Amino acid sequence: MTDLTDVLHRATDGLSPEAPDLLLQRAVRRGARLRRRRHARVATTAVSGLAAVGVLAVALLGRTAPVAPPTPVGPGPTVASSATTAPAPQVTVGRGDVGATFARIIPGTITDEHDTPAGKVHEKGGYASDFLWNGFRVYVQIAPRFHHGARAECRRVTRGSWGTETCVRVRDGWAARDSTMDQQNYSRYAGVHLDNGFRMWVMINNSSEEKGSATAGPPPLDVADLEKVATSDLWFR
Amino acid sequence: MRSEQEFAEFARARMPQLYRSAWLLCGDPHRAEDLTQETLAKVYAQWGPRLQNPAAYAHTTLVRTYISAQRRRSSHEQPWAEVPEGPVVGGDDADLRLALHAALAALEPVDRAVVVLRYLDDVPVDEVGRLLGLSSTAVRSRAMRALARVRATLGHHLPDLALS
Repeated sequence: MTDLTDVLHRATDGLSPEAPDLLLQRAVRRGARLRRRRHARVATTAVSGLAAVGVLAVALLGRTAPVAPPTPVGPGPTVASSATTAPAPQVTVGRGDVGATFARIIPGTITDEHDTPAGKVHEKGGYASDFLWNGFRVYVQIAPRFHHGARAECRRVTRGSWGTETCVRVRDGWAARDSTMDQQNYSRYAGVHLDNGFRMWVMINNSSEEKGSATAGPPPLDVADLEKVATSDLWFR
Repeated sequence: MRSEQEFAEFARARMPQLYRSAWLLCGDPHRAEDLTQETLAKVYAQWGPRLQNPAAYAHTTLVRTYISAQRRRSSHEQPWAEVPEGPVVGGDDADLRLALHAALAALEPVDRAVVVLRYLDDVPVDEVGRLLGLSSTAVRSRAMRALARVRATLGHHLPDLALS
């Protein structure tokens, strides 16, 4: 094209990063984190959208359906509601108790617990919390109900994003699993779409802060441990 | 389906080219490595069957990440108001690199991106415009202006540097 093209090629010919393997390793680590954030964002948006549709439907029904007059309670047999429809599961663990509940499942010392912004998840009754478990940063997000079914929701979140990611049946739900998760030295996570309609994210980092320096070793919990936390009965009733 | 192994192969193959573009855009090897790493991280995050052309995506991501970082104005140099006297361009690659850095440092970030895309990567004008959010006319105008400034620094040693 011009001599400038030659100059640019001559000047950069043979240039390469000092440590390509290290650069690649760091890129993969950072890319995995970006991917997890995107998955969490997609799931949160879906929950918000469904909630909005629900609110709209209720509003429309409220405007069109006549309001039934209150029925006086008379004598007669009563049937417990649980006999016909199961009560909707509710989160039993309050904010501020997430760390303690985590430690009941996997014993350890909990410090520095606080609520974490989680967008619409908060408005719909879910929440996110992070804390230190034995000095390792742990993040737990409990997202409210979704309506596609646990398996479909899991597939929707993982679809098309990564060839090695699959949905695996676990106790009371479907977990999104990546074949590389247990090899990550920086962070590990479990994302479980529970049959009860909630989604649990449990993540552990090998640093005391999200962008802090890494501690000595990889996270001491593997994906199975994190899924054990995510599927525990302690979170719901 | 694309596996992590395939990503590693892709990254190793593309890394030198990405790094060379980053080196010219950023002006120092450390920031060039950071930019290359961030670019590959973003490619990794999207890696999968839906990513039809990873090389093009990586290229686009590199330039956009650079421009975005420049707009944040967090930790980068300002264009030089006065072009310093550049070192002599001789046969030594190190001298040439220093001279080139001096010339590129005089450009605004977008102009620098135009130069790298047009003259290193040989990207068509329309595509440069799409990548940078500029009209084709604006790309040509910026390319000519940038070339004139680069010529002011390197021109003595590159008399054939054309304004094409």
